[in-house]
Amino acid sequence: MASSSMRRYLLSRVAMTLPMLLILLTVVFLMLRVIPGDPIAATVGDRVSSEELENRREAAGLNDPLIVQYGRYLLGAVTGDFGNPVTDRRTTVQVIADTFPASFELVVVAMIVAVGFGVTIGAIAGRLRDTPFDVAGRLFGIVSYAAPVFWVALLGQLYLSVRLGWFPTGGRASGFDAPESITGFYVLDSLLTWDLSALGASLYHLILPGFTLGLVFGGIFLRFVRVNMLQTLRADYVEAAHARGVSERLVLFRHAFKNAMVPVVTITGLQFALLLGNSILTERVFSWPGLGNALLSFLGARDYVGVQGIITFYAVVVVVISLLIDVVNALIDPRIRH
Amino acid sequence: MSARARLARTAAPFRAATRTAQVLIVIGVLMTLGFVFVATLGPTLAPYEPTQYQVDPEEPEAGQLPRLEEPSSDHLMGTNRDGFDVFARVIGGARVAMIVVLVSTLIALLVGVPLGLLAGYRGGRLDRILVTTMDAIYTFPSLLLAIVVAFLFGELFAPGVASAASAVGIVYIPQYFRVVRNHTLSVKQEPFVEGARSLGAKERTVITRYVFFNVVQSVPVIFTLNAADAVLTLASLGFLGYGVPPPAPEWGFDIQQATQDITSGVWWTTMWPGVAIILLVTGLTLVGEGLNDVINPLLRARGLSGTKLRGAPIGGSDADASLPRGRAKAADRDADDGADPPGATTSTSPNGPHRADGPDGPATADRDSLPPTAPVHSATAGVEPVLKVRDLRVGYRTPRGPLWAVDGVDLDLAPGEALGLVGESGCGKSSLSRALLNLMPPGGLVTGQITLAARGDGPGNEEIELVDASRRQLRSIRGDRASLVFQEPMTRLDPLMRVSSHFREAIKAHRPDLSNDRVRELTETALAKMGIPRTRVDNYPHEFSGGMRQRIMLALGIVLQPQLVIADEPTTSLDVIVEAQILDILAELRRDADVGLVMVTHNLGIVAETCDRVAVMYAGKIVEMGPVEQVFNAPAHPYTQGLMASTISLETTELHSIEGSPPDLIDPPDGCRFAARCPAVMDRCTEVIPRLTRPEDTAVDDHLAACILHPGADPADPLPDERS
Ligand code: SF4
Repeated sequence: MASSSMRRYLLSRVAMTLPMLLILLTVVFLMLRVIPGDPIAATVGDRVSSEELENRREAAGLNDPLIVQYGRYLLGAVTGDFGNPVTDRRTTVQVIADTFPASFELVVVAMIVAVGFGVTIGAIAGRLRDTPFDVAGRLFGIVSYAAPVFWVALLGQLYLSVRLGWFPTGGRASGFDAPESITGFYVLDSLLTWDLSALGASLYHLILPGFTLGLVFGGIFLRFVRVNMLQTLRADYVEAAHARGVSERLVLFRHAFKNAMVPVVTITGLQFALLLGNSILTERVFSWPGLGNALLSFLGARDYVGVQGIITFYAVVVVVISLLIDVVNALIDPRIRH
Repeated sequence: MSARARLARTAAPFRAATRTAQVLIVIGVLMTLGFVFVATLGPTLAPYEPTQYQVDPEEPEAGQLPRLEEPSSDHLMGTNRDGFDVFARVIGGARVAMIVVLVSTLIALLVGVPLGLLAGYRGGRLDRILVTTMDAIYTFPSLLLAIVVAFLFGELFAPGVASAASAVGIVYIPQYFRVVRNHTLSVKQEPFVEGARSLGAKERTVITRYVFFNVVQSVPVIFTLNAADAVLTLASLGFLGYGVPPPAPEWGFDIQQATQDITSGVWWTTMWPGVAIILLVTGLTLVGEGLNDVINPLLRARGLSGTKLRGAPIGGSDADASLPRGRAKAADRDADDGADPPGATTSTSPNGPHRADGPDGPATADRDSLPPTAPVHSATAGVEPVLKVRDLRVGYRTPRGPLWAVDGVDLDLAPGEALGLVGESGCGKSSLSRALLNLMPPGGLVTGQITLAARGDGPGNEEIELVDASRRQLRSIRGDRASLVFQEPMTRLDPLMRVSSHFREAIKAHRPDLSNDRVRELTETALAKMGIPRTRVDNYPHEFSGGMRQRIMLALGIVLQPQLVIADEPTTSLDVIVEAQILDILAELRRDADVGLVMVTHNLGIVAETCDRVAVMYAGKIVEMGPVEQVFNAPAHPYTQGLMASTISLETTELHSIEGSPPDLIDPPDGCRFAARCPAVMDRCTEVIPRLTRPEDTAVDDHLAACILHPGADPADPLPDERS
């Protein structure tokens, strides 16, 4: 029974997600078409002859009617072809394959940091409402949210890397430090090859960027979890559990905390997307060879095709993540499945 | 309404907020105002110009000041690598940030509000498309969106404040859209919109106006939180080079410029713009979150604001308003207790009502030597009451001062007896029912005596005093020896837990050694008794109807065979058939298992049907108590008389309010609390607090009323037995 209702729920979620993806892709397509001039002219226009320009336009399909280009774009996005950047020999997909693992690894570490400290402090603060711990925790949450990602990263770099030398000033593990590349995710690769020194090096490079990025988002989790705890702690079922003589600890964890976490899972998807967006700042500070830096260099070169490809990829990732979060949510909360 | 009253009403939630919340909001407001001040006046006051980066294109090194100079009295925050005063740049950045925040909000409003109105008003496919689009925008990482838009606008027009503000503003469109759309949708169904249409008013005007007034309330929170976010987004854009371009002083851009300084140990160029951002965002967030905390009723602290309650009086004027009612009076009473209990802490005999008609029943008693041995001619004479309550008071903290929801209640309950507790809402009956398990929300206080009789013998079953019991003792009592069955069956079960898990948890809490099979068996038996089939035991709460859930709650309450069950409105919101079932189960329980039952309700019909005795509560006190037939047929207290008169049929009718409303319990009137509504009121009524005494013309002994119409109720009168 549970599995069939689960399947139905998933199908309906997918059915709801597709229009969203379509709209996102359309917006991305349109956005990058409103710019005057075309991608070829914008990047190499002043460096090649007009025939050459025309040839390259023709080859890139830019002379086709807009609707044809749109169709081709959608088809490409669905089949995993995000176009060929003008300023890079690689295909966009190749660029993504080269850089996304780095970004993803960074975001995952940041997420662990953010959830770890945000949920812990937030839950305790909610339980200890209006005590000094609560006030201190809230202020810490607000201030860490208020601190710009790049600024915290810069200060971390200055004090922890440059002054104290605890961490590398930037970059990913490289050269002999890097694990043999299988998936591109260094932590995963070093585990797969059981290369512990590579694992150490990968983590060593990851910690400071991941931590500075995660700290900022931990503030958001902290505030959210605290508010949820406040609500569940005064929920009727919590009082009822107390009235049945269930121990304080169990009431807190099994009833209040678990219920407080349901909406947290829901926002995790959104937070993941936000983290992915903000990791661009961290990548910039730490010269992290990720997707964000790739996007920035395409933007800098005014390579619309490259920009469009990467943005499209981001859109797909975001939609997939929100779908995954829905699944997790349905697994946790029996009400959703029905 | 006068402007002042309106202001007072708007400020009410703020005053009701906790002290910490108030302080945090005030700090936030001050920080934000400070920023607005700096942004508007700062640049004119600043000692140096922040924005002459390229005064002279011929001479790129345009700064007039020494470069990278450490902070000093001349340059409070030092100078940057272009030879500008960092302090002046930071102040200038405040103005840029304020302009961008305002313009971006304006853009978000200008786009989001009309679209929201349109989607909500038109509905249909347009609505679906717009909603999906907005969701898509909302899901997309906001910083990436802002970067792309800033880049596009920079290409299309020119980089500048306008492009940056548009980029920042687009991110917030979905939020305004959603609020407006949802309000529009909900108002469209309102009957008054229909009414307006039939009156010929333009429907659109009505909706727009209504939505406007509703949305305006939620806008401050959205605005402040978005403003905080906008400052961060703007700085991030600036840091990446897609924000407000130089020479405008912009914090993010300045930090980006300063990255080169870091390695050479120059910290002040990075530090100060960052600190400015943190201060501003913190201030705005404090305001936004504070408003949210205060406005959102779900988050309002329950009973934690206001002065802390204490069991003992604290001197001064404060004590006068509140605390003496607690222990201070009790102490007076204690002093007098020996010979003559003037506090009128009368009590009833523990026996069932139908049996007591002895000539010298225990109309009054010293609370320390109560009835067990009282000469009562009845089958249950001499039976220890399962529950003995003396001078019970239940207080809560409120912003205006302590509120004693239950103010000196005495009662006894025999095993197998059912006592109905009735009264208007707010009379203290629900507080009383929770207090019987000493189950208080934070800030609540219980004083007095609640004694639960021993249950057979063996460890953990001794007689116990619940008011002073430790948390551990209380925990071991609750759900095992004494159960509380709540109303609202829909919300009392944890939605994430199977019904069987609720049982396992409750049983294991008290019988940790039981085997899983045994637990399962107990669960299934208890549920089967309530008519819940074995096959549904592992379902989740949401898979049951309200009536079934109420029966599950009841099964949970009695699975461990308690001595005492307190049922708080156990049948509200249930249909008649389910109600009858549940009442049957309760009746069976006390017949077969000798369970003492306290039935809290405002439904007199239920009391008549199921209870032996009834206690009528008014404003925290029991005003009349006695056998159900006696009280219902010959009520002795004017309040009860009013209730009976306004109740046409006991079968169905609930309590009808008597004209007027109950007194303010934070500052209760002197004397009889019913005086303001009592048709028989006399001068004396406002001078003394009437005590519970046996009305002289009543047929039974354990009928008591607290009204000075009856001799002996005036504390100055001699007690009835002395009279005789
Ligand atoms: S004491 Fe006085 S005011 Fe109170 S109920 Fe009796 S008659 Fe009415």
